[in-house]
Parts: sequence; C-alpha cells; structure tokens
Amino acid sequence: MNKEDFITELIKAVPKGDEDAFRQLYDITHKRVFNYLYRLVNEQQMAEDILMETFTEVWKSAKKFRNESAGFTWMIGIARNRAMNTLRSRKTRGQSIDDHMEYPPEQVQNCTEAETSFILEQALNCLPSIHREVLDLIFLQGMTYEDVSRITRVPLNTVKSRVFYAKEKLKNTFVSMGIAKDDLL
Amino acid sequence: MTFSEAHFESMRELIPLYVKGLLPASRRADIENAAEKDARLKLEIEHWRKIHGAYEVIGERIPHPSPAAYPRIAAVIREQHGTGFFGRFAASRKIPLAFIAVQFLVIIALGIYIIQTRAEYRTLSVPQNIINGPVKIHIVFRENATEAEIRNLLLQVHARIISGPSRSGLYLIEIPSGEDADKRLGILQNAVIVEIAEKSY
Repeated sequence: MNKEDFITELIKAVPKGDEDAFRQLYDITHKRVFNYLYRLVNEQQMAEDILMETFTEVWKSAKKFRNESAGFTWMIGIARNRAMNTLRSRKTRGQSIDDHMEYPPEQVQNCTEAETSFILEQALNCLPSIHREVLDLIFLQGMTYEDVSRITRVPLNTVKSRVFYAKEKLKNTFVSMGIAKDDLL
Repeated sequence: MTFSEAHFESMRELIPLYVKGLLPASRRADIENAAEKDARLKLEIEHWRKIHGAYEVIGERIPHPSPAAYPRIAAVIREQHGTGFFGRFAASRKIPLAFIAVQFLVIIALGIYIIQTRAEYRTLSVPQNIINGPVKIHIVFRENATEAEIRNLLLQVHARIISGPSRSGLYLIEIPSGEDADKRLGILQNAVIVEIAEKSY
C-alpha cells in the first residue's frame, strides 16, 4: 500500500470514531496541508487557524468521503474551501485577497546563474493567484492535472492552459524585476 | 528534427508532471525520447526543472505549524462532537433518525392496538349476561294470603321463589327478563295479596 492509499484508509477509519487513525492522518498530512494553506494566505497564524478548521471538518465529514478522488486530494479540497471562505471574509472587511496572495517583487539587477532559483522564487510569488495555485499544487503537493482540476473545480483543459500561461507570466514578471525576458526561461 | 505542433503540444503539457516525477515509466520514456529529437522539448524540460528547483527552495522556507495545533484540534473535536458513544450519537444522522423511526413505529402499533381493543372495553357495572338474566324481586305477601293464592299469582307471572320467607315475611323471587318483566312486576305490585314488590339489585 502506498502513502496515498494509506491516507485514504485512515480517512475511512475516522467515521468509526478512531482517534488514533485521525492522529496518524494528522501526523502524515498536516505539513503538506499547511504548506498549501501558507502559500494561499501567506500568513502563519491564519494558515494555522485554517489548518485547524480543515482537520475539524475532516473529522466531521469523513463519513461523506466517497473515494471518488484520493483521500489527500479530498482533504486539500476542504482546505481550499476553508481558505477561500476566510479570504473572502477578510476581503469584505476591507482587505483584498490579493493582499495575501501576492508578494512584493524585488528588483534584481545583474543576475548570476547562482541566483536563478532565488529570482524564480520571487517571480513565482508574484504570479496571479490562479496561476500560482496550479503550480503550487503540482510542485509542492505532487498533484496531477486531474487532481488539480478536482480541487480547483475547473475543467482539465483550463488547468493545462493555466500551467502554460503561468510560465508565460513568469517571463513577464522577470521584465518587471529588471531581467531580460528570456534570460532565465 | 522537430515534431508537428500538435505532437509537440501534447508532449509539452506533460513536462511539468515529468519533471515532478508524476508520470508512469512508459510516459517518462516517451518524453525523454521526444526530447532527444526535438530541441524545443529539451529546452522546456530545462525551464521546468528550474521552476521545480525554485519550488524546492520555496517548500523548505515554509515555516512549520505550531506543535500546539493538534491539541487544539483535538479539543475542538471533543467539545463540538465528542468522541464517545454520545458524541457519535450527536454527530451521526442515522442513529437519531433510527431512534425517531422506532418511536414512530411504537406509536403506530399502540394506535392499532387501541383501535382493535376499543370494542372490548368494559365498565365496572354488572356484566351484560347478568343484566339480561332473570329479574329478581323482593316481595312481601299480606298476612291473610293463602298458599294457593300465592302459588297462582307466581304461576301467572312465571315467577319462582329463590329464597324466603324471612322472619319479616320477605321472599326473593325471580321472573324471566325481557319486555314483559315490567308488566309482570306491575301485576305483582297490583295484586291484592301483595304488600310490597320491588326489584332487587
């Protein structure tokens, strides 16, 4: 049994009130869920609060899990819903979602090859949220396009086009950082 | 050598998954073979490897959640949902619904039982067979009444003596029940040899 199947089995044990299974599930998955949330909201305390809400919801809703997707994909879907609700409520209180979703770009001059990773990191943080989220799910969470489609609730082809445009937008971000468009990608 | 645009696109869209190691072995081999033949694909792989490398740095820089997070989650779960039988009872929809269904069935069964048994209700009064039985009468004859007169009168109303006479001359007699009972009682009460004749209850 691989790790993803094991996570799914643990989720199935939760509706029986199995606290040990739930604890194991938390131990195995909480860092990955937290990574996803932190990238979405860019704030440790808010990410932790949503992490708590997510696992509370997992405990409550595990009986509704229908095995239509991998267990971890289902959990990330719950985390995403919770995060979006929180960000929306912040937005209604005068804060923009983009205040959390975007990072300030740094002007980089005379970049060397050794700085490539750092510059890319900065540029990735500046991507629009819909593009960054898709790349986050693939490269931080190891999700396939089908998983990303389920989590973000957009068609498969939209996911693929967001991946393509994410790379194009990265190049545009380089320009705003003072780097020639084709220097890095 | 370069591929057609359609083939190139179908390969290119898989490269992020290839770089992340999410493709099965056969698809990986397809990408690698194609990249050897088309320089554009080779360049794409190089770009996505850089992006993947940046993500590894990003992943390392993300802080860890507080170790206090799980105890807080466990506390919320115990508070909101409970973890014992009653917690599961409160959290479950099926158990309360089953409970309501059982109560509903008991109420229906009781209703049917009451309807079926209503015809058999009894009061604490005398049973019907007793009501429909012979009418008992206390009767006192005049002192000067002869035995023959008494016997004739009793024969006239189809009465028979149950007990008596007592020291005070009281007899207990019975006459057949039915519509004629009151008429027979009237005959007894109006007879010249009768002092008193009243129903005995």
